[in-house]
Amino acid sequence: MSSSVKEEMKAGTADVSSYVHDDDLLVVKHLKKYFPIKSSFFRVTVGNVKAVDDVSFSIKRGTTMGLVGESGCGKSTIGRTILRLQDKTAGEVYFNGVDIFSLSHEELRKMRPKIQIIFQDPYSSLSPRLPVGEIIGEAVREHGIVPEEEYDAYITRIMKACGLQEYHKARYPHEFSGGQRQRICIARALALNPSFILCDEPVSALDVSIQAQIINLLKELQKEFGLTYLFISHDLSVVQHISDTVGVMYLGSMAELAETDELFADPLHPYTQALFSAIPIPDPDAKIDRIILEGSIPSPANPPKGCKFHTRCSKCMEICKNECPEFREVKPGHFVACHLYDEK
Amino acid sequence: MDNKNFNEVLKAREAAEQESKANEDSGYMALDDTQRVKVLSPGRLVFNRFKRNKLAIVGTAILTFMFLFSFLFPVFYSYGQTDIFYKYDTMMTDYASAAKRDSYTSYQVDPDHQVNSKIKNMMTSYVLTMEEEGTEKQEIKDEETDFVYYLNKLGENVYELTGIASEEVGTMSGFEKVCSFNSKTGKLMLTADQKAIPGLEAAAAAAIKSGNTVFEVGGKVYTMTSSGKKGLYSIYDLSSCVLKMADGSESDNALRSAVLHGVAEGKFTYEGESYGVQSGSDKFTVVKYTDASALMLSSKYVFNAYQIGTEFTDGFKAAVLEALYGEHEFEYEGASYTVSKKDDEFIVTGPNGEYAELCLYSVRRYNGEDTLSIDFKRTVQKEIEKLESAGQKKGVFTYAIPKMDDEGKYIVKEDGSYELEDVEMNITRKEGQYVLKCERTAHLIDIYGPASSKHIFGTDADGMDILARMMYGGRISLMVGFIVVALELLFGVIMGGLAGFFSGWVDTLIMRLVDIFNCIPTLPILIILGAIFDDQKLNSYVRLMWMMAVLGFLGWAGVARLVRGQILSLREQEFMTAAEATGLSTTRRIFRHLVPNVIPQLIVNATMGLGSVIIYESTLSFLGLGVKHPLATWGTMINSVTSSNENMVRYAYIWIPVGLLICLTVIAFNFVGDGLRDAFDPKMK
Repeated sequence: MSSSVKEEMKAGTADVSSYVHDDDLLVVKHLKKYFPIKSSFFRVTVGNVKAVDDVSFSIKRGTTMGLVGESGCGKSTIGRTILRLQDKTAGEVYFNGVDIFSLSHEELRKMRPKIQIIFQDPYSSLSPRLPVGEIIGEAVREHGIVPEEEYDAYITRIMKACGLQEYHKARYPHEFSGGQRQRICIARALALNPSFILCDEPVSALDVSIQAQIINLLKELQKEFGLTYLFISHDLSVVQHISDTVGVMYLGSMAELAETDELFADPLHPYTQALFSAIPIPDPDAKIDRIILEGSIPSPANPPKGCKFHTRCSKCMEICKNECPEFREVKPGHFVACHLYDEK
Repeated sequence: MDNKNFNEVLKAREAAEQESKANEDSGYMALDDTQRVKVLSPGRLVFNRFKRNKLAIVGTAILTFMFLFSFLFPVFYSYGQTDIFYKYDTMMTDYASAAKRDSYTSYQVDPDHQVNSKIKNMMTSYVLTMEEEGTEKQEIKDEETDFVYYLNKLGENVYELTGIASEEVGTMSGFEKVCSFNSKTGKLMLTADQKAIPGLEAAAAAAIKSGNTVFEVGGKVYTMTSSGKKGLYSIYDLSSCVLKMADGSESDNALRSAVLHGVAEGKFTYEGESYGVQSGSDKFTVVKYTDASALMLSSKYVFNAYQIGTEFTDGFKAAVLEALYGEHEFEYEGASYTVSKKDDEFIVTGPNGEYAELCLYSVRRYNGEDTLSIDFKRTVQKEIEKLESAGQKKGVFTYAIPKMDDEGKYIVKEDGSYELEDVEMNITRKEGQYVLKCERTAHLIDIYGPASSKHIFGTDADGMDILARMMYGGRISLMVGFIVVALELLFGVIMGGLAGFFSGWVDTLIMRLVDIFNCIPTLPILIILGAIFDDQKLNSYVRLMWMMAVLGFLGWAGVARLVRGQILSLREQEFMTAAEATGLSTTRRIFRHLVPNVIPQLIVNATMGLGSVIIYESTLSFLGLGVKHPLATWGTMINSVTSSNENMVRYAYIWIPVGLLICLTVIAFNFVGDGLRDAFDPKMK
């Protein structure tokens, strides 16, 4: 990371600089993404869906960050905004020290191979009219990742690395099973020689045995190529398995962020605690102390005042209803946004 | 980038694997299906899937046939679409007409001696008046020349025009005017280039006194003529003018002088005979008038020859008429003829027997051929007389006339005469003349000809070959289909693509345009355009072009909507997001990811559209709005026989095959379209 950017980042907001490290590959600062709600007739903006509301985090090079939360809490929106597949509302995203939103379209296009994405649905994310070899290799050729003469061999190697056979090249996506398709998606991402891969619920559409294969494949590839992942999932056990750090999101905001072991051992936020209590334990005799959340997730278009979670929180205090808790480092490397841990 | 290069890593891994593999048993065969699975190209795959669809194959076969039928067969078929065919058939034909002559025809006695046309016209009208009033003699005066002609009635129906005949005697030229002389002043009047001749003045004055117009001065002979004005005379040098006689000799001074004196009046008398002088630009023509003689003869009689094909000259006819009420004998061109009266007719007998007959009835063939025998003419004459006496207007009689073969040619016997056959001849009075009709072989346009080896599907109302027209009609129908669909696709893809890819206000604008185009009532517009084209009297081909342009222009909205919908839905697909995330350029995203996904729908839509455009074109042609005669299209061909129920039943052999062609083509396009849709769908096994 260039020193000037680092200084700039540090000079910006003190709270962010506290968790920005020199070896961070991706830094997200106060990212906001609002979707305007337009009236049906005059197309006037009458409100915003606050899909991502002031989220900050960073990912170290070569590590995996898990991002968990219920459906609709803004996990995927964060992912897509980081990749600049959609515009941000506010905040900054630094990839390798470069503000992604400051790039021109052509610069961004050149940058694209470095940040790849694996989608949730392996069925719709592959163009039905292109053979697999072409799907994987198209962008390789476009960006000149390998010399022309090595192209074919390279695609074969990538495919083999992802557990595909050479003869799969000429086949069409519809001829593959879900797991194989996800391998194709991984191969497509991998072929571009990326340093960062956004895994947007890559295994949630697959059955459990295949999930393990894919997760292991991802881990294996990470080890071999030194990849950095942002792993979005609502499956806590998968996240626990693959992640180095885990962020917990609730209604567009980061509730808690810590090292995986730390977080699973000592969840601080009431929401995290409730979430973790729902993890099934493969022991029929074990007593599960489940925390049942009442009510349903509020509308992101009209989030509650104060702490967003206070409407469902079992430890709700008066302050929670009025004041938004600060996202603070409570323990070293363990951030949480909850008034319970306010310094008195 | 501090990342590892994947390629290098993978290469290293591969090398390691190779090494470990080499260490293992080399005879080991991996359990994969590389050997078993045959990989097909995408095009081949589509083709295979298409091939499996039986209906699609049937459709393709039909279309192939239609294309061959329309584009290739006409090349080898000997008839064109506008060739008109003829046939020979017996039908009631107007054979001849007969009429009693009530007008006079004039014949010139001497073909070299033309009577002027004014006199001829006067003669014709005078003859009719004379006949009405029963006058025997009539005087006709030529106002210009003061010549008098006489019309004499020679006998019944024959009149003679007599007049003075003129004969050219010679021409006078080379005369030179010396000067003018004024008798009042007694002075010569000289112009600038005329020279005074000594003694001329006195001699001229003396000549006027003595009344002598020819006088001599200084050895030269001069003549003096009054130049029209009172007291003014022109003096000519007689010695310089030459009067060249018709026989080549030169005349004497006296005649020359007489000519000069006759110039003013245009005539003169010399040695008791009258002459005329006709002025020319540089010469005078001198003619000598001879006695009154017959110039023309006018008669009602019709000359019928005994020998078919004989033509009579005017001179001969005039000679006959002259002899008719006179000497009954005459000589013409070295042969002598006699005229005798038999019943109402006159018969002219020549050196070779009976030569001509004069009667009051004119009987003629309609086609102008002179093939009627005198016997036939007589028979007709008798029939007419019979009808007139009985007061009837119609009659039938049988007569043997030359026989015709199937191709309308006369059958000639070995001896050169025509073979005859008895024919029922119908005679009808019509507008003052009689028309003779009989069954004859005639050369006709072969309309509504039945199927035959020559015309497999017969011929239509214009005698054109239906098979040929079906072929050429197919050309137009298929061509219209393809061009219109191509135009629709061109407009539709551009507009729909713009709307879908850019969305926003571009989309709104284009889609509202599409809405407008969708609510344009096509048929009324085409009816109006058809009327305009009719009014402009456009060439059939130009009209066809216009029609295609209009149909294409009116039809793009559907395609645009389809393309826009496809692109909108494809844009939201994750593979498009993935394409963006992999950093593919916009053009590549459009042409590698969007277009291939739209094209199958377009092809299917176009194929189905072809069928409907062909139907549309047929409908328009059927309504008379589309392609015009003589260009053949399937629609116009059907239209040509649908004027009534009766026609549709009678000419079913025309419209059923054409209708079948339309149905088959449209069905085939739909089959192929369906087949293509299935084949393009990669999910179809």
